[in-house]
Parts: sequence; C-alpha cells; structure tokens
Amino acid sequence: MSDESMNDSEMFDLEGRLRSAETGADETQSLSRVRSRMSRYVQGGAEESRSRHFWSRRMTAFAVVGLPVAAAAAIAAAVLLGAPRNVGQLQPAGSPGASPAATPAVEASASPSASPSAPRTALVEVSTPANQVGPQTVHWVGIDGQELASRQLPANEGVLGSGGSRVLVYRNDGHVLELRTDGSTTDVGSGMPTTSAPGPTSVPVRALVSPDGLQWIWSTMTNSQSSFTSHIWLGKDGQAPRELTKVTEDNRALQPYSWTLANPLISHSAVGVGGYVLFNQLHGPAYQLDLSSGKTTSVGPPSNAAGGNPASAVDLAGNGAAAYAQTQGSQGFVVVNGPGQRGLSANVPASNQTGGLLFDAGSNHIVYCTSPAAGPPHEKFETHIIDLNSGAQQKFGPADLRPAAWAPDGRLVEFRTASDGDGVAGTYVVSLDGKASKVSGFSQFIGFVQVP
Amino acid sequence: MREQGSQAVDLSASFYALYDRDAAVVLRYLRSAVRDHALAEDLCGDAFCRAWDAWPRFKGDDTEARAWIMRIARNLVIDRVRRDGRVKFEVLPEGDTLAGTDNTSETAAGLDLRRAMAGLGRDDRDLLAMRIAGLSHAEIGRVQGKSEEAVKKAWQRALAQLRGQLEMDT
Repeated sequence: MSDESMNDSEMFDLEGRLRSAETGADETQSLSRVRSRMSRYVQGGAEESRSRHFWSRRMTAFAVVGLPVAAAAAIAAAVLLGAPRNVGQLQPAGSPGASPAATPAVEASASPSASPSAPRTALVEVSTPANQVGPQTVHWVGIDGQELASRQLPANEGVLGSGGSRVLVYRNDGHVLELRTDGSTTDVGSGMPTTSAPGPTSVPVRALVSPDGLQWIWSTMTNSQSSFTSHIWLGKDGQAPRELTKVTEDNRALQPYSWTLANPLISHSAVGVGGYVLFNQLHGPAYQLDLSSGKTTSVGPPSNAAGGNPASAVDLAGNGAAAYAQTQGSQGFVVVNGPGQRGLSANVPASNQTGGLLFDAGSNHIVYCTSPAAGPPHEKFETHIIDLNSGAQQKFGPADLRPAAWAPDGRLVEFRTASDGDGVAGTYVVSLDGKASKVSGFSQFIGFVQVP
Repeated sequence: MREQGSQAVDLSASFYALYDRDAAVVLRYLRSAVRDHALAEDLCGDAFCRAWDAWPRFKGDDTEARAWIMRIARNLVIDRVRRDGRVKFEVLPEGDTLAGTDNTSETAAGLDLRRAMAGLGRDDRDLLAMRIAGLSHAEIGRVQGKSEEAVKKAWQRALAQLRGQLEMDT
C-alpha cells in the first residue's frame, strides 16, 4: 500500500472515522478527576501523588479479600482519614414549596459504584410557588431523576449559580453564601450590589459562577444620558471584589455571557434590548475575558463578516475551537473553526431565533436550538446536533426542548417551560442517540454540583 | 511577601489556564496512545504534575506551552512502553460509540479501526494519536521536533498503513 493511492479527502475521511472510534464518551469525568488530583498537587505539593498511590493500594487490598467495594471504600476511608465516613446525610426531598419533582428520594445507600473518591453529579434547579410569587426553593437532583435534597431560601436570598461542589446564593445585602444540602450556609464573599426591591430576592445584576464554584463574576453599570460605564467584577472567597475590566460607550454595556471553561465569555451588548427573547442571546460582540490579566479576546464573527451582523450566540470548545450562530438576510448559519475541528459552516433551518449553542466536553459535537414557530403561549423548539468530526448535522432529541448544558456523563441537559410545546414543564437529559429521560418537573436548571 | 503571594497566584492561574485549554487534548492523546483509559488518566495527571513543577521556569507562549505539555505526556508514554514492553489493546466497552440507528455496524467498524490502529508501528500510532487528540501537523512538528511538511508526509504514510491494516483484516 503506498500513500499515493489515497487522496486528501480519503485521508481526512479515514482519520475522521478513526477519531470517532477512538474517542470515548466519559472524557469529562476523567478530566475532572485529573483536575482534582492536579489541584491537590498544586496546593499541597508532591505529597498528593504519594497519598494517591497509597489509597490505590489500600483499595486493592480490601477488594481482594472479598469485601463489597463500598464497604472496602468505607473502611479504607476510615484508615486514611482517621474517622468513619458518614454516608446518607443528604436532606431528603419534600421540603415546603417543593415540587413537581423528580423521583422520591430514597435513603442514600452503598452501591457497587460508590467510592469516596467519586462524588456524584447533581443538577441544581430552582422552583418557585405556582403563582411565581414567593421565595425560591433550591433542588439537588441526581442525573437519574432522584431528588437528593431541597432547601427553601429566605425571602432575601436568590440562587447565584453552582459549580464544583458548591451552590452559591446571593443575599440582598450583597453577600454571597455557600449553601449546603443540609441547609447550612457559609458567608464566602461580599461586595455585590445590594437591593431593597420588595418581594422575594433575585440577583439584581447579571452574574455567573465558575465551573469549579470558586469564583463568580457580575456586571454593574452607571450612565449619564446615553453614555454607559459598565464594569465586570470578580468575587472569590474572602476577598474584596476585583474589577476585571471597564468600558464607557454610548448605549453599550459589558455583561457576563457564559462560563464553561477557565475564563468566562462576556458580551458588549446594546443596552435596552428586550422583548421576546428565547435564549441567552448576544446583542453585540462577545469576548473571552482573561481573569488574570483582564485582557479580552474577541470570540465570534469578524466585524466585517455577514454584513457586520453580530452573532446571536457563541461558544468556545475545550480544545480551543470557536463557534458562532449568525444570520445573514433570512438565512441563519452556525460556523465552527479551530484546532482539531474541520472548519464548517452549517445552514440553520428557518427559525425566529437561534441560541443554545454548546460544544460538548470532548469538542466532538455542538448543539444549537431553533424556534421554528412563534409563541407565546406555546413556543416550538428544535435542537440540532453537529458531529464535528464528520460535519453531519441532524435534529436531536424530543421536540420543544432547549439546551442548557452538557452533563459530565456526556448527555445534554435540556428544559421545557410551561409556555413551550405541550406546556408540561420539565428538565431532561438526552443521550447522543437522542433518547431522553425526564429528570424533574422544574425546568429552571442552574448548573451542576458534585455531592458526596 | 505580598509580591511572592501575587506571583504564586499568577503562576497557578496561568497553569490552570494551560490545563483548561490543553488537558482534553493531552488526555485524548494518551488514551489513544496507551489504549487504557485508567492508565491514560494516571499519565495525564503525572504529566500535569510534572509540568507544574517546571512551570515557574517555562517561558513560552500558549502554542509552545501546548507542545511542551504534549512532549511531557509523550515522554511518559515512551517511558511506560519501555518499561512494560508494549501497550495493550483495549476491548471496546459497550456503549462507547455514538449510538445510531445502525449501532452494531458502527461499533464493529470502530473495533476494526481500533484493531488496525493497534497493529501499526509505534511511531505511526503516536502520530495518529496526536492527530486524534486534535493537533495540527504544525503542532505535531513542534512536539516531535520535525517540520510540518515532514509530519504531513509521515501522516500520509501512517494513514496508508492503517488502510492497509484494515484491508488485511477484512
């Protein structure tokens, strides 16, 4: 076989098939474990590495004498930590104000896969009373639909976001609290804008929590007639807010847009755009904001592309690829460019609005959502998926769901509000084969959190 | 003291940025190179721990940083292969592929490809593993110390070998 017998197209095709065959679906969890190990190493030095191997040997020793893995894990934890490990401490579901929920909670029990080193991923969701007037209730819902815990917030608190092992809550005096499943809280920061608006509290500014749950950003804005000065601020545990960047411009302001990688995306959007907005949409250029330096890097179409129209949505992949959704005339399209990806431009089916543009963790797929028929009251939605290795795109999952985030297990979290489709609200996880499972009836997905 | 603290924060922030940007690429390369997900995860952790030790002395830009961490990962693979003699072929777990309407044939095709990949020489496998991870020819050149053109020719040869392996298998 000589290389002259294959042309470029055949070679890229073969390589694409090989990439598909070689790429596993559980990359996110591996990366999460590697990151945890690396973080311990960075914070604690080389000791981590030794203790990790010690742990592995202990687990092996217990496993080979025939104990159930969970029991071995508990004993090994006791050996390592010097104290028995408490399991099953999660607050049961069913607090006041809940729930169109999820499967009733069952007592946490040791399972064959249980391990002290493998925390469980839960979805964080929020519900409010049926008339939408009243305090928020936070729900920790397993990805299998089991509600693990729920907590009703005081009237002066609202959920800020979640990440890592933390759910963060805003309090109307500008403080940030870490909320745990047992209802206990720790004040971890302050300096956010205060609000004395009557009624239950919601976060008065646009804010996002980092994927590891250790940082949060928000925007503030002041104006003199049409001149707006906007700021992006960074909050961290026990530290005063740090201004990351500031812009003064007519009728435009900076806002947090999304945060799935180390550095968040922000938008420089037109002020006062409102109306019937179905997605987390851009109304101006988007940038990735370097948290260390405050420098911004443009993300999205070049300013002279497609008549200068801004993108309606952007996203960055873990491998550095970038995507944006844009409309030229009446035709919408999604463009993906970057390392490891075949540069592609996919036409978007006729749609009133396009959003929900999300790379998966392996940078192998991207989804976006269209709204082919207008509401209210019953908006129609279609989710589409593009295989970035082959360029093929197709409709994805059940109708009338909007993408929220990719779960660590490689499934897509989507939601339907009571104003969409058949009017039955819910949060779903959709696997790559398009099969969907309903996780809860809440439809207000906040983020993920690791629970013990 | 404050200055040192600030530098430490900057160092760790820039290192986490490296991790967030490149860890998926490194892990994907390692999985493909050693064909054992647990081992790949261990090696990925080792690579970043080693990188952290040397991070204060690293003076390159983002492009060089990716080549640098990939070189560390690749050296770990080479060390492992030398120690263990050879890497093993991993049985494709159920549900490991993108399930479609014709899941069986997709899985079979995936297995064939992975077997064919396992039958390649170490250098060819290493090169294709880096491509699978998402590296361009130029980036692989930086990792291997070769020109982009040389890498592209080697890539063409490796794919031709892969197709030859597939044809032999069938």
